[in-house]
Amino acid sequence: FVGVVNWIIKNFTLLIIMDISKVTPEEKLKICRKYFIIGCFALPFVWFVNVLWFFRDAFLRRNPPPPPKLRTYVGGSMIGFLIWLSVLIIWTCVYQTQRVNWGSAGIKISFVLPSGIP
Amino acid sequence: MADTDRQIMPDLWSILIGCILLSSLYEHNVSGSQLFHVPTVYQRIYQEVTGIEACFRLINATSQIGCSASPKNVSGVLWYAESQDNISSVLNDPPHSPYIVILEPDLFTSENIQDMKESKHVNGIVFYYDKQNPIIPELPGGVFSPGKTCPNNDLVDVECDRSWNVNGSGLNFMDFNNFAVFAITNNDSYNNVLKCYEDHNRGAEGGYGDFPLCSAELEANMDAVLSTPECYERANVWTNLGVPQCIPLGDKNVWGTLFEIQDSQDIIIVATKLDSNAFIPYLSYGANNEVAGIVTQLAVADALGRMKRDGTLNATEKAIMFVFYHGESYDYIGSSRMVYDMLNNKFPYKRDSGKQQPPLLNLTNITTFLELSHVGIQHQYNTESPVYYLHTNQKGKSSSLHDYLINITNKNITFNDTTADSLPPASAQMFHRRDKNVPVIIVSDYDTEYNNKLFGSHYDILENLIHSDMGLSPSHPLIIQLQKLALSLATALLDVSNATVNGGRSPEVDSEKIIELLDCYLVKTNCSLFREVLSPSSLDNLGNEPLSRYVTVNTIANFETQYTFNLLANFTGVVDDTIDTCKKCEKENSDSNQVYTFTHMSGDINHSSDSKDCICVKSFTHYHEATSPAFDMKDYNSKEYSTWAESNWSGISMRIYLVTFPLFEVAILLFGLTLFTISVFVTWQCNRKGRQIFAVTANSPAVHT
Repeated sequence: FVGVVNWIIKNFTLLIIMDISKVTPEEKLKICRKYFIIGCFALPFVWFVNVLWFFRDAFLRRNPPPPPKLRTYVGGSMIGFLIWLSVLIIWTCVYQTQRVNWGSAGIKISFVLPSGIP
Repeated sequence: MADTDRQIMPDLWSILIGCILLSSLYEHNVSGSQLFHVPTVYQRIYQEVTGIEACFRLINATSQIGCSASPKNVSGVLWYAESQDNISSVLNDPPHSPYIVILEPDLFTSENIQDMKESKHVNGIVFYYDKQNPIIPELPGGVFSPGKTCPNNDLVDVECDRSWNVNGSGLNFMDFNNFAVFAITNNDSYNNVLKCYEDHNRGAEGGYGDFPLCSAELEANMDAVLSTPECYERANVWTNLGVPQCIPLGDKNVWGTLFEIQDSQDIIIVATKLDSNAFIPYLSYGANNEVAGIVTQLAVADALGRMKRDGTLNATEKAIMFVFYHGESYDYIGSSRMVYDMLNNKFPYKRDSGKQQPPLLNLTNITTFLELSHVGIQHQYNTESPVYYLHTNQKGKSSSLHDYLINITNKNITFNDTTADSLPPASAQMFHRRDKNVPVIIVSDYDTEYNNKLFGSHYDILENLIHSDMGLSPSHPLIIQLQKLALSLATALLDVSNATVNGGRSPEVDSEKIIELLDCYLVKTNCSLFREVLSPSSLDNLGNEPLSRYVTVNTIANFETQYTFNLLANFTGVVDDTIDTCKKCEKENSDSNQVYTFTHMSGDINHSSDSKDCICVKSFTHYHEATSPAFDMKDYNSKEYSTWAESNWSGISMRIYLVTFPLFEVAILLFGLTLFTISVFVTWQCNRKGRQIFAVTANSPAVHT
């Protein structure tokens, strides 16, 4: 059990401490990469958080230049998130406007249907 | 300074706690004394309107009808429509739109309702209806028929080639989406609504007043949408837990015979329909749709039953079966179910060798199907020589019952053949469409067009049959007409069924009984006849209103069905003198005997409602399930059987309140937001500069990190 806790602390330091200013650039790269991989499992908000945390470090900081791979991971996260966002927006718009026209098929894919309106 | 601070804080807290305790004590003391009654904030704003009957949504295989105020409640400023001009002005650019119209009953016409529905200035309608003393208003031409021109024409293979109901507007079957129509049945509530209008809305010289204005909000959100198949499909959505938001319409048919049915005996069915419908369903009284028919049929059953009981009538070669079908106003629910059960060998009961059962009946057993459809309004309504028309599907062929009725000469009543070519809307259609060889005779007061100008409305009440101020008495033309009709039918039935009658006596129809039945169904249910034939525990349900005859959903048992069952049992059955308590009579009904039923009734003994004394009547009267076969087969798209279902709703209510002009409301909102922003800003600044403002030192107890 202690071993598991240690493993969690070692790998998810950022998640627990939530204070990014105290982390070294190498660790930042490791964290960024980890989050990028996690986000590949259909978790676009993990990518979004990745971008939010490391955008300044990857693209705007010049004094200690950021590790080069940081940019790729942050860039990849950003592109992935934007793709997901547009797909979700398009699907939501199509569903909300067209579900009534789909009849039974529309009902079968619905989770909640408010009563009283078609 | 610090010490006094510490002392002040506890004192403030104690004062606050003291106030809370005092106010709670105050609330508890309210119940006794009116003087100290403190209305809640809600009660200061809203006044609830009670005693409402609403127009609600019904759905079938393809459409939704009725009213629904979805997704938001319907609201608007009150507008009182006293004359047709008021209605025109509310439709043409009135100020302070939208409105809820208080409608005078004289203006309740199909055109007005439709115009108001289509207008964006009117969101809802309320009107007054006195359930205990309903009166027919002065409608244009005395006509208001919101039924269809050919009722029940939706099903497949139903004959409908002419407009039987010429005045029909079809209002009952229209969709009123985002609209509400309420009938206020409580006199005080209605007066409150009018008073609110008079005090605030009525302007000078009939014009319109200015803010603050009295408004109303009508709540009637219907859960089901679009159609019955949609309702059941939506039940499959995960979060609905498989429960549909609608319930099928239905109830039970009541049928009974005079004698036990023998194996392979032919039967003569005498039928009428038990339910009615109207724009506001719970205000369906249907005096000529079909209380007149029900009363006549019960009078015939009574006449023949008395003959049986006093030994004059010993047996009949063909069994006479009296049937009262329920749900007929909504695509023939009861009759289609009976035909379905007959064809599937389930009528009257599914074969069970362990039980004593009546024999299975099929369409081939039926030698004649006689139906009473609209028998209360003669073309010349005060005639004492009524004329009835026979609609039959055996034109040109001879049928003994038809010929007997046509050839009646000596009783001041005439039966004529109709000039129409097809059958009118009637339960007989369900038998005719499955087997054109079943001889069908429909007795009606109309030839090719309904005489009932108020068909399908909530004004089809006793006054529609009586037409005058004369009270009901044996010399009233209506009673004479119905008595003659019942007598002719009774003698015809005895003749056609080859009855064995002692001494050649003829039946006698009791006019007093007809008057009592009309009074019980159409004036108030708390009448002596109902008090006699119902069990003591049912007497509490009797009231001072006519009997509402909407079929309702199939999970609710209507009072009307039970009352009719008990009446038929009482008229055709025999009192068992050996059983004198209600419980013993109930116990006589065993699961293994489906031939007899024992019904306990109060009789004409005087007793309290928890009395254990009953008379026990043994009869051949039964209930038969009247739910559409479409729901059993789960074929919700069916065009063969009724698919009518009633939508669920979470609440139907109405409240009135005052509103002020919209700009004022916006101003208050902005003021509140500004106040909020300012107070947030001030608090934030105080927080940041707190040390400077309050000049705290390191030793003060108020210092904390």
